[in-house]
Formats: sequence, structure tokens, C-alpha cells
Amino acid sequence: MKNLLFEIGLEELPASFVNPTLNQIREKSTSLLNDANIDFDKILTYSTPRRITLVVEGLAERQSDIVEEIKGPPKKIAIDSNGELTKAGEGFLRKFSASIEDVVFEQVGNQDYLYLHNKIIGKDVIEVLPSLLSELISSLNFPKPMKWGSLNTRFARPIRWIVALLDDKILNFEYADVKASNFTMSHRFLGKGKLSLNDASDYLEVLEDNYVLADISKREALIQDQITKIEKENSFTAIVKKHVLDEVVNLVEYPTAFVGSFDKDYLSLPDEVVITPMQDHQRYFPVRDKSGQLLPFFIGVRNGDTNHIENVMKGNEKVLVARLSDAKFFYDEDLKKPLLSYTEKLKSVIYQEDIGSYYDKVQRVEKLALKIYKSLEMGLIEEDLSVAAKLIKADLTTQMVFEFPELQGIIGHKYALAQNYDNHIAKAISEHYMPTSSNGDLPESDYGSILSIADKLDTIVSCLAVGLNASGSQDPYALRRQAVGIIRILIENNYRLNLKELYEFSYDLLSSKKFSKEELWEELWKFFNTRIRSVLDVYSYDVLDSVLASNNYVISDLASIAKAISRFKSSQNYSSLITGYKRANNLAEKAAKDFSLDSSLLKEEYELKLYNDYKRINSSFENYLANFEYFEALEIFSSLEEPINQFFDNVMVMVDDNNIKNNRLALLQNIVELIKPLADLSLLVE
Amino acid sequence: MNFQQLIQKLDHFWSEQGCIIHQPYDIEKGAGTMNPTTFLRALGPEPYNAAYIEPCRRPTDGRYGENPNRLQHYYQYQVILKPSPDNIQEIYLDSLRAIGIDPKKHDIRFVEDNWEAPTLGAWGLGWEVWLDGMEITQFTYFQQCGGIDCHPVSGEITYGLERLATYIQNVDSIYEIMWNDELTYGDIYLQNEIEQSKYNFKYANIDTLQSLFSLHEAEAKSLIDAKLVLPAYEQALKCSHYFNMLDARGAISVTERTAYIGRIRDLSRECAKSYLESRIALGFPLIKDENVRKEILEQYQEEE
Repeated sequence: MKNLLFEIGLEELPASFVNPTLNQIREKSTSLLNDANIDFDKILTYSTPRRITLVVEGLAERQSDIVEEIKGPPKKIAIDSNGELTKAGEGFLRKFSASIEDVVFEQVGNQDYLYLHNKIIGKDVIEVLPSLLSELISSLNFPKPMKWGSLNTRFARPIRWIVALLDDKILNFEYADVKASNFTMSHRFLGKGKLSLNDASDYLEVLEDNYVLADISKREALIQDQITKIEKENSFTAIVKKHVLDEVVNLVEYPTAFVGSFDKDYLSLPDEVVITPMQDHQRYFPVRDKSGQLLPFFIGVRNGDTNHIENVMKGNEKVLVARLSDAKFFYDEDLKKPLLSYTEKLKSVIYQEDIGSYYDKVQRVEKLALKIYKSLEMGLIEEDLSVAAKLIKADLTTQMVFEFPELQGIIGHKYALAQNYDNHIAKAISEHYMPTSSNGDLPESDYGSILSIADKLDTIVSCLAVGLNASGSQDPYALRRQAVGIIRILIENNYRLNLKELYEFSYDLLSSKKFSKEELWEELWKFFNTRIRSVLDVYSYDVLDSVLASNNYVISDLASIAKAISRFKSSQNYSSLITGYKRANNLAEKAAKDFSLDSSLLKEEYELKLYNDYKRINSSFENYLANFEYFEALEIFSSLEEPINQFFDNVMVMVDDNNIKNNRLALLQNIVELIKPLADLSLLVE
Repeated sequence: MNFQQLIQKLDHFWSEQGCIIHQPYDIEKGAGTMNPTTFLRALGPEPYNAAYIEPCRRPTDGRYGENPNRLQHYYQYQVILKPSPDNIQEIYLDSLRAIGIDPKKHDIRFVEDNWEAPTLGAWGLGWEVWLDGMEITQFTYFQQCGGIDCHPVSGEITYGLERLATYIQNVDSIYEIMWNDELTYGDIYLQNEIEQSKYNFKYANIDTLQSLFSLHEAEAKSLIDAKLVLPAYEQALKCSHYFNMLDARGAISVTERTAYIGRIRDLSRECAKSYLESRIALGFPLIKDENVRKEILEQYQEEE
């Protein structure tokens, strides 16, 4: 058993490339080794900013032997009636330097063929691995590969050294003008520089002695420990976001955490304004006290040891203070003007060339929000909704958002509070962007929810209206995410809003549109259909088919009905109801258009029973529908299961007497139509 | 170390590395990359190693001298190494040692930062270099210039001199940097920052700027037609500057911005194409090995 060490030494690899690259290395090395019939125990990967490493443990010394089957001509062509080889037979054997003794006959179809079983002896892995590793390295893909120097090779970053060791033997090959060797490198500034490895198994230890922790999980654990220690010493709590930690782990080879501080005056800024430069720009961990109050300290992680760490600390403090003083400057400057004046500035900010300015958008959103407010008949203050609508995009023209674009909405919220707007108005500004991802948090307040729906619907309708569509992987305006957001808010809050009505209102507000109202509605509804299905994916496809066929555009109802049908599906008489319903539905399609049900024409026992039961449940059914009690509606409708099936067993529908026939069809049609507003039950699987 | 010593040390260091030490180019530009020594020399197969200090103008960054870290006129120290040598990072780190920054006493990192200049049709991959968390250098491997693939690839190193100097001299404001042992950066440039900020943001005449843009654009086009690429490129630089001025005056809407950038990019692309043709016509004289020169020249002539 042997161990393989393969290290690609690089100029600093972007942190975000690390995990996808290691995944590729694991997958590809596994399949390359399997394809080459090389057995192994375990594949391990390591990485630092300057290296990606593959270790294969328990590698076989040789490739497994394999038997290759070579098919020859049919026996009757290769061997003549005297049992002698023909020319064709001789030719086949000569080609593979075999004799007749090597031949095996195997039947294929109805005749025998000549076969040679060619045993291929596996080669020593040391002969095979060099080309295999070259193949591995050239098969790696990166989102943005680059060229360097005079080479034509592309890779994530320039390759500066390659270690390829099978135990103590160097595997000889070259890639990107770099010859594989047993030399690796220490930490950039610590350790001995160029390091010679005697054996593949020495790798981690030699690196660790030279200030490189190649094992990602070990680095992460060490950083966590160092943070915990600092937290204890200072009695504060670090805000450790997973994505920040992941990045920091892949920015260092030898982590050492340190504490820095800044003037507490900066804490008068909104928390987000203090946290963003620390966390997203400088990759520090901000800290809070026990009560959750932000403190004027931060934890940074240095790539190196504790020597001269006071320089590192002071330098980082200086950088942070420069950023915070910028932020303070913007904050003070921005607040000198009323927030509404920033909305005015949106007149010169183009939302989209064909659609118009952000200011136009804000005006449309306000109108749409007020329309929603009226449809919902909720106890909100109309004037406040209107004010909030005017302010939702104001912060886009502030210096703060120009500097920190990721703080859009949050800045508007804070500035509104600073300028004494009511809390629910301020909150609606940040909430109107929610949810910011398909399964992100929804707005908590009704003001925020209404504005979120209005803003998103306006975006979708205005974009579709000028032909800006989401297609394939392209969705530059995030229309899909916004549709999902609308659907989730409607369902979660049980807002009984009719999407078609809102759409029509929204359409009428647009100044430029390339499609008619009807054309666009069809497209929009199709677009929403797909998203409704994905939001409601806990329900089976046939339930969603039946619900979406109802022409009901109140999305919150669709969700409740889907839920009711799913529950109803486990009822005892479900499948027999659906069987009967489908028969009724098929016949109902044949009903004469101008014929209405005439009860005096009903004669036979079971048609009268069906008719009477139908009449009996009719008004209760309608009542349930009106009260959105969908499960109850389905239950009472299902009481028709027995009479429907008895009707089909005992009554002949397609009789010669046209009046009787049409009357029976009309009876079935009435029953079928009764439940259509709820769902098309004929689409359900029994 | 005062500011002018810092520049002298870098000049000396890069001169020792075999670089041509250029002097600043006499036309306004937003970054050292726009100097023809970088933008044009990065094209084609001819090797070139150069270093120079470059005054840069970014009118929108003006702060009337009130912000300690932001200026509308500042200096970059620009190094271009073509082809990028294998030990380019080590050479760069040596240059830091040469200006008194011992990497062992600090935390120096190469943090991913990719560069793109839409007006130049240029992009590259690389890092910003952090010194104890502060960005002091932009480090880029050029992949495309003027829409043309770079081969060989140039390595570009751009030092932010004021940032470095505030760090080395341990001062909190750019204006406190000692230029020599007598005068500060502020003594020399504060009045300029205040007056230029006023001009950029308030006094610059929008109509004049717009006409200047169009005039220089027309001039660039006619010079490209006349196959005078170097003067043509200067006119394109003028356009870029007046675009930046219009931007600072808030006279460009988002839609117009795309259009303006497109106009400048078209000029940059034309210049890049035309420059490469002019070097082919001259026979790539900077390739000193005669056999290599002939071989490469033939390849290019075939492609044409």
C-alpha cells in the first residue's frame, strides 16, 4: 500500500474558489483512479490560500489486472469444414499474435464466434500516475480562469510549484512549465521558505512546523477557539456569521486572532453602518455585550503568529476608523436634508431605459399600495401607508447607500426614525425589500407587506410589459424571486387579493407597454403559475393542477383549497367520488347548451335521488365556499358520491328521447359546475 | 521616510529590476493604467518593463479638502511587467521591504479583487494587497485590453502612494504627510483640493464639457482614420476626463452613462486595434531576438 501526495502551489486563490475546487478534485480523482483500475482506501483534500492538495491513502502498488474480451469472426467463417483455419481465421489470430489454443468459442445469437481473452497485467502505479495527475489538473474548472506570463495554460491563479510524491518517490511530469518535485513552500513570511519533503506522509507535519495549517477544519477550529478565548477574557460576544468565518478561514495559512478597538462615538451610528465595514469590507467579527449592545471593539484574524501583532492591531484600527469616519460624514451630511427630498432626486435616476425613472416607479407603487389597502379593508392608516410608499426608495440617492449599497432599505429605515417618522412607517421602508431570497424572512408588518407586494408586482408587470423577461438562467431583474415573494406574503398573511385585479390596475399605470392587457395577463399568469407550484410544492401535482384550473386568482385561496383537497384525499369515499365525478364530467361536456334542467322531467328513482341530494346540499355548499371552509365544502359535496354512482349504475343517460337525455345531461352538468369554482376534480388522480 | 523619498526608493528599486523609469504622462487620466505605457504597451507580443509615478484625477472623489482619506487629485505608482515574471509576487514584496515595510512585522495579504475598466474594454484578475487591513496596492494580470486578448500577459502593480505614506509616517490624514522634511502634502495640495472640488462640483460649465467631449471624440475618430494612433489615443483620454467631469457635475443620467461609456470604449477599442497594427507594420522592434521576432511577426501577419 502506498500514499500519494499531490499539491498544487498557487498564487493566492480566491477564498470562494476553495470548496468548489476541492469537491471537483475529490470527484475527479475518484473517477480517474477507478477508470485506471487503481484501488485505494481514502481520498483526503487540504487547502490554504496558496495550495490545493490531494492525498490518496492506501493506494495499490499496481493497477488491477483486467481481462479484455476480443471478438473475432464467426466460427463458420474462421474454420472450414475440415476443422482448419481459413484465411479470415488466420488473419484474426495474427492480428493479436495469438494461436488457436488461445481461442474460446462463445455463442452470440444463433452462431458461435471466436473470442480471445486477453489478460492485461496492471502497470505499476508510479508509471500511470503522472499522466493521471496531469489529466486531473487540466480537468479542473473555475468560474473565471486566467492566463499568466507567456503561457497558454489557464488556471484559477498562476501555478508556482507542484509536489507529486508516491511515498518517497517523485512522480515525474510537468504542467504549466512547472516540474513536479518534492519541494513545497512554508508560510510566505514565516518558516524556512522552500521545504523538501522526504515522504508523502510527512506533509501535514512539515507544513505545520513551518506555519501552515493545511487542514481547513483545523484552521476553522483554531479560529473558533481563539475567538472564544478572547470573548471570555473580555466578557463580550462576537458576531460570527458563517460566510465571514468561511472566508477568513480561507484567507490565512496560520491564523492568529486579535482584538482591536475604535472610538465609542461611532456607536451613535446605526448598528448596520458600523457592522458592514467591519464584517463585509474588513472581515472582522464585531462584538456585543450581554444585552446585545454593540461594543467599540472587533476581532480580526491575522495570517501569521503573535510577533509584532500590536502593529497589525494598530494598522487595522486605523483602517476601520477611516471607514467609520467616512460613514459618519455621510450620515451627518445625508441627515441635513429631509428624507423626502431624496425621493425628488430619484427623478434623475433611471430605473430602466424603457420603463422610466425610479421616481415614476415610486409613484406607481404608492397608487398600487393604496389600491391593495382598499381591497383588504384593514385597520391601517391610509395616510401613513402613502407616506411610507413615498419614502421606500429615498435612500437610494443618499451618500451612505452610494457608499454601502448593501444597506439599501436599512438606511431609509434609520433615517426615517432619525427624522421622527412613526416607527411603522420607518419599518415599512426596510421591510418592503423582504423577502430578499426565495425562502428569506417575510415582512412582519402589514405596511411592509403591502408595500412589498406593490413594489414587486410593479417590477414584474413593468418589466414584462417592455419585454424584459426571465429566461433560462438569466433573470437580471430577479423577477422569479419577486413573484415567489408576492405569493409567499399573500399566503402567509392570508391576504385575499385577486391577482388579476391588481395586475389590471398595475398595467393601467404604465406609460410604456408593448403588449395588450390580455396578452400580458396570460403571460403573467403563466409566470405566476410556475412559481405558485414551487411555493406550494408540499402538495402533489394533481392537486395543484385541479386547483389552478379553477380560474381563481386569489392566491391565498388556492393555497387553502390545495390544503383542503390534500386532506380530503385521505377520506374513505375519495376515489369512488372521483371516479363518479369523472364520468359525470365526461358526459356533462355533451350537455346541450340551451337546455336547462327541468325537474318535472325526472322520473326514475335514482335520478330523483341524485337531484334531491344535489338540491339539499346546494346552499350549504355555497355557504361553505363563501366562508372559505373548503374542507367542509368538499365533505358535503362528497355526500353525492353514493347517489352519483347509483345513478350511473341504474339510469341510462343516452336514451333515444332527446328531452330526457338532455335533462339527465343537464343534471350532471349542474353537479359538475357546482364544484368548478373550487377546483377541477377531474384532474385529480384517484 | 518622506513622500518624495518614498517615490525615489520605488524608482530606484524598480530601476534595479530593469524597468524603464518613465515620467508622468501630460494628459489628465483617472488611473495609471490609462497611460499609453500601460494600456497600449500591454498589447501585442513585445516585452516591456516600466515603472512611473502617475498623477490621477477622479473629480467625483473631491471632498473640498475636508475628508482625510479622499482626494480628487492623487498619485499612483505604476509598474508594468510584460510578460509577468514567475516571481512577480516576491519582487513586489521585496519592493515593500525596500520602502521599509518588513512583512514579518505586519499582516500582508493578497485578497481577491478583479479589475475591470469598461471605458477601456479591459479586464484582469488579481488581488488588492492588504497591509494590516489597508489596501495599499492593486495587483492585476491583464487578460484583455481594448477588447483584445493579452498575450503574453502583463502583470500590473499599482501602489496607492498616499495610503502607503500615511501608514509609513503614522499620520491620520493625507494632508499631514511630510512631502519633504519641510512641507506637508497639505501645504502643497490643500488649496488645490478645495478649489478643484468647487470647480468639479459647482463651476464647471456643463455645456462646455459636453461640447469638449464631442470635439475630442470627433478628433479621435479622424486621427484613427489617419492611422495616427498615439495622438488619437490622447484624444480618447480627453473624452474620458470630460466624461468624469460631467459625472461629477451630476449631468449624466444612468441611461446616458451607458451611452457615454460605450462611446469611449469604442474609441479605446479602435486605438488598441490600430496600435497593434502599427506595431506589426514596424515589425515589433522591441523583440530583440531576431529569430523570435521574425517568427512571431509571421504569425501575426498570417492572422491579418
